[in-house]
Amino acid sequence: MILTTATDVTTLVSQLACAADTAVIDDLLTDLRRQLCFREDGWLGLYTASGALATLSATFNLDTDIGVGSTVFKLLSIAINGRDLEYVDRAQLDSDSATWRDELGMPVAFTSDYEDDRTFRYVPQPDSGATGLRAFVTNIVPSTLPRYLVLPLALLVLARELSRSSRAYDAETATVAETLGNNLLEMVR
Amino acid sequence: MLASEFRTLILERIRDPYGDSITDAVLYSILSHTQRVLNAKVEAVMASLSYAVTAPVTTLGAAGGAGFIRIKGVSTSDRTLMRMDWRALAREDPFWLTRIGTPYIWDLVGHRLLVIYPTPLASTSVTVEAVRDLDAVTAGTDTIALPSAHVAALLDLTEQVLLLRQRVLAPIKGAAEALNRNLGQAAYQR
Repeated sequence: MILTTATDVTTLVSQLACAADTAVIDDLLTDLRRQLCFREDGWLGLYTASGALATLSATFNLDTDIGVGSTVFKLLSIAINGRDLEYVDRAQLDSDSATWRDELGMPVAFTSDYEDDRTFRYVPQPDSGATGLRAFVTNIVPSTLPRYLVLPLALLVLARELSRSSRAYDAETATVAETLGNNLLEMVR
Repeated sequence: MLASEFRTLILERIRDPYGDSITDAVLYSILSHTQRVLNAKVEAVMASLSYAVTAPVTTLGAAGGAGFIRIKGVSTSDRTLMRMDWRALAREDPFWLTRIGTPYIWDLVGHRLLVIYPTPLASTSVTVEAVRDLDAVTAGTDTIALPSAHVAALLDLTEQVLLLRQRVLAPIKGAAEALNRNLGQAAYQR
């Protein structure tokens, strides 16, 4: 896979629309890439496998424990001691057992906190010390993107640039650019 | 077909035979992108890439200078691997990350993490058959990589982008419909 940077997208947007505002285009592109991560179920995101975690506690946090920072979009999978943990809905755990938080053992599942979906809880709570942890996560806005996405993204950014309130406002062209951009996005998927 | 021949055809399409509205550099840049996108759709130009696998998950990059868009199949020296959703694999075998053996399953996590199951005991070369991420066209002497059967569709798609660039919107629908016909896919245009 050949990766490129967002600069290629902004350059192409400039080639498609004279006098495009570079700073605005950069912001629109960043916003679009973030939205694509949601829309495409993380497909655009750069997936990362983490290293080992020295010790286990009752919970783990995407920002501090996995070490990929605050740009993490979504946790796809986590494994400890080589075992892939199954995601379990917290309401299901509460309905099955009132004491599940206090149970100790080797974790076989994980669940998320209600108030903070960046903190997850092992089920059952680990009773041993050092062990290996591995996770697949997606990054909200990776620093690179596949080269074949440059044209679809440029068209979608152009659509946003032309549809916002500015001297370059052109609703009709924006609509055509968005339709074409979405069609091209489907072609490369 | 040479890129210069394509240039002549596309400029006639957009009623700008002398190329007054666009430089060759911009035209070939757009052509590079449209050719890449179209190949993703028609899967006409493929690449065979080799990666050394030593772990259950391998991050794929360009191999031998060639990039890819979509993986179609994975094989080792003696067998073709079967694709299985990695989440289903994790449900079937929670210890899939540490299982050692002769690989027979592959999948992708996201768009560039290759899963091989079980993990080979020693470094093993796998061949990945993929839709090629076509090289950029930079000069008129470059060759259009897509087979001639797809040049008509490439003209339709490039025409749409160039007409959009010129803000000539009325003919775009016609170009899109022509592309539909050439691709044989009526549902292309919403």
